[in-house]
Amino acid sequence: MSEKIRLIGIYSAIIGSIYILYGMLEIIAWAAGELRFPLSPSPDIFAGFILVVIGSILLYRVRDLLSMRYEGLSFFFVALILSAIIGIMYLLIMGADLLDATIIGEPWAFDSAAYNLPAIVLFILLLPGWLIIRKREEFGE
Amino acid sequence: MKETTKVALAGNPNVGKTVIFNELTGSKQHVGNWPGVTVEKKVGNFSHKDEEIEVVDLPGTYSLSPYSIDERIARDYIIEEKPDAVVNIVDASNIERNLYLTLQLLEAGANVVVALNMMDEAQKKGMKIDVKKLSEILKAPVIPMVGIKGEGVKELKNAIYEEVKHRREHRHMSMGYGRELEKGIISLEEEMARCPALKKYRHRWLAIKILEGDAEAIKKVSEAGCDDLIKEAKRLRKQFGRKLDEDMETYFADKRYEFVDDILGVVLIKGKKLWSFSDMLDKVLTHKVFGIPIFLAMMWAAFQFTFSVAVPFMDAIDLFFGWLGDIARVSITNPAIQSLVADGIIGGLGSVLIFLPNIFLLFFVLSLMEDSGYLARAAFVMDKAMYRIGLQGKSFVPMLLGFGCNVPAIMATRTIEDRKERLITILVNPLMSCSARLPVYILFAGAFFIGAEGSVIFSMYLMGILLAVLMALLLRKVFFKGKPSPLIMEMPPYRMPTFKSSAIHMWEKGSMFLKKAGSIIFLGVVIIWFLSTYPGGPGSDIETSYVAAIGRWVQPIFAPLGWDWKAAIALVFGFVAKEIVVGAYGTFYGISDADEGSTSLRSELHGAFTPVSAYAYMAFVLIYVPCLATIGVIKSETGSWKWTLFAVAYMMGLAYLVALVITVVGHLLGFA
Repeated sequence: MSEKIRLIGIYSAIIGSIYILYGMLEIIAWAAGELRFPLSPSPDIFAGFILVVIGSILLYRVRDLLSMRYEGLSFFFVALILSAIIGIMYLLIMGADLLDATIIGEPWAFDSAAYNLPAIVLFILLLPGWLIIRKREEFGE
Repeated sequence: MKETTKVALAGNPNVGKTVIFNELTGSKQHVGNWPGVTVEKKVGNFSHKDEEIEVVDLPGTYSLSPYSIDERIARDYIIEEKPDAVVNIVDASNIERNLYLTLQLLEAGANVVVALNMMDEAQKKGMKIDVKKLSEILKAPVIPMVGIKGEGVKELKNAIYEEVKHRREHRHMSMGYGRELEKGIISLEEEMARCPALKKYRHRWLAIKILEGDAEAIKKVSEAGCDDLIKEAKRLRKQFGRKLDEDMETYFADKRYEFVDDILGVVLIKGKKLWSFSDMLDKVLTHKVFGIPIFLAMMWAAFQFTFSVAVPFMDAIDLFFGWLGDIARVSITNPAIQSLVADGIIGGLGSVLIFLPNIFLLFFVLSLMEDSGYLARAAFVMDKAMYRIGLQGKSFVPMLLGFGCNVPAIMATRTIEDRKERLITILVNPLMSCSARLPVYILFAGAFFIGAEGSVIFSMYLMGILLAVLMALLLRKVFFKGKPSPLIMEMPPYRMPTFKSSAIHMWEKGSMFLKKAGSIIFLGVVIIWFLSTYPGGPGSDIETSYVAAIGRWVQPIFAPLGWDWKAAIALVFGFVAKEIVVGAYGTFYGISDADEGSTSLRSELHGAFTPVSAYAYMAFVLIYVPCLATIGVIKSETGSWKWTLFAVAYMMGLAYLVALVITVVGHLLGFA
């Protein structure tokens, strides 16, 4: 298990950095207007702020995870939950738009900025982390 | 005629009283996963064997020494109404703290049945409770239960039946307080026997209470004209206080806790301490740095979800009302009735009902957050910030409830013991944006802020919170000087919210909106239709109608904000209920466009507002008086016309000021 924790630490550091990067890009896109990056960030200050928060939580106790201390897992778990909430929310919004297009008879097209594609992709990338939660009984002191 | 058998449900806050109430009576009262959901007693019935039993769900209380209004409600019912049995719901996973109330109930002479709830949580903690032994010590039936799964309900019904049937009133367990003090208690009991007016109370309990210095108990004795008894109690209190070197209330409390410890020493085997999943979540969710950003993230996601996922359902309702309006226009030939039905009722009511999906979804999400146990953490996280503005975290619970409806939110302030804090919380609560204001935000955000609707709506909620904070600070500095009391709040366990529970909660709150639509909003849109159609009659120009005349009279007040007479009059009608603001617009444009077919209300608004004036209008709707019902509840809860009128006046003034600032700053920054 200890080695796994170190791996989670490395994984947290990578995904957390991407979260912060895209969060900042979304805030910049909101402030600057038309900005285009790979995986188009949505120009929304609040959405950007949320991504920065998730990224910061992932990075906050990476050192604990790298030194194989269980405490850092708390931050990893909460970041997983927040990431899932935001990712699933955007997937639901996408589904709702698709349904709406069907109801009003208009064509639907995928808009990566409207559905905050980075948030969805990062949520999917974090999904393997849920496998760790299934083994939470191991965390007894 | 046989008297109804009465059973009260009593227990600490958040031990599952309402769950068990619902299980017993088959009702669907809202169940929350935070303390203070039940602030009034709720009544239901069930029949078991040959007995018809009335069940009263009392607000949560930690003891029978009432400090807040809800605790007083619970104690008065138990002491004065004397129910045939009191089901004391005990959280098995927190048995140590819960048994304190059990001892007090037994001491008061209540016919107690202990429902040992949340046995599953206790087992998860590795706790083992000897139920039989506990029952022997307390001399009362103890029923192990998992209320949320319905486990133990049948056994509880049987135990209640046995208790009320056999009325074992003289079987109380009594705990001793030391030989010296017992002598004092007995002497007071003997004195009490000479006061016939005190016969209805258990003398030992009353003697202990007046020795503790319980103001309510002393008042009861004084009202019974037994002043000698009060003098004697005062003398004893002084005497023992000196001897024990602590005040009597603390002494009695310590003794009870000692007794609880003794009981637990016999009946409880504690499990080994595990670092639980709850501990891990709490470490981050209540973190000093991340706590508030996480709360903001959750709220933003809630509003984003509410706005965006509701869109297809809104469009379906819109299409339905459009179709209904067309049918009305084709099938009704009388022009007056046709206009009333198509433009007034269908147009006006339809423009409000279109937001039904948003309101249902918002309540669903808030319910998920509450049932999971997260909202209690949010209150904890906010406590520090609240303390700085002169409030405590306990005030945050009613503030959050205000996102649903300000009326129950203001009633929920009853859990706040300190009168000053309670008044501040009541006065700023209407600034928390209730669901009735959501349709206005959605209408205007959808018309003027395409692509950023969720964030604009979220900014309204943030603005409400910020203004509430500022007003609380101001009220504390000017009217209610002093420091807030520290927060003592129990963190409920995290639970996986069930779809059923969240759906019930959503329906309860959402159906209130439907009821309003069928009553006050319906009446409002009919009146607006009449005023908008006459004196000219159907087909006449709305500019010549009564409503235009009234609107033009009011409009100069709002001229600096750039709003026309329609905006002004919609705000006037919105004083009754906020949804009518949207209903009024639906009716105005329904009448104007009767000949042109179904022009979108949103596109019509573009002629009357700019993004800046629309945002200022949304802010005004957020801040000015929420509705007549809220004003009524402010009056009833403060008991003062002075504070009620103050609330109305400051909200009107603040709304105007904020809208003006938005307009001026917006123009200075070069926005249209």
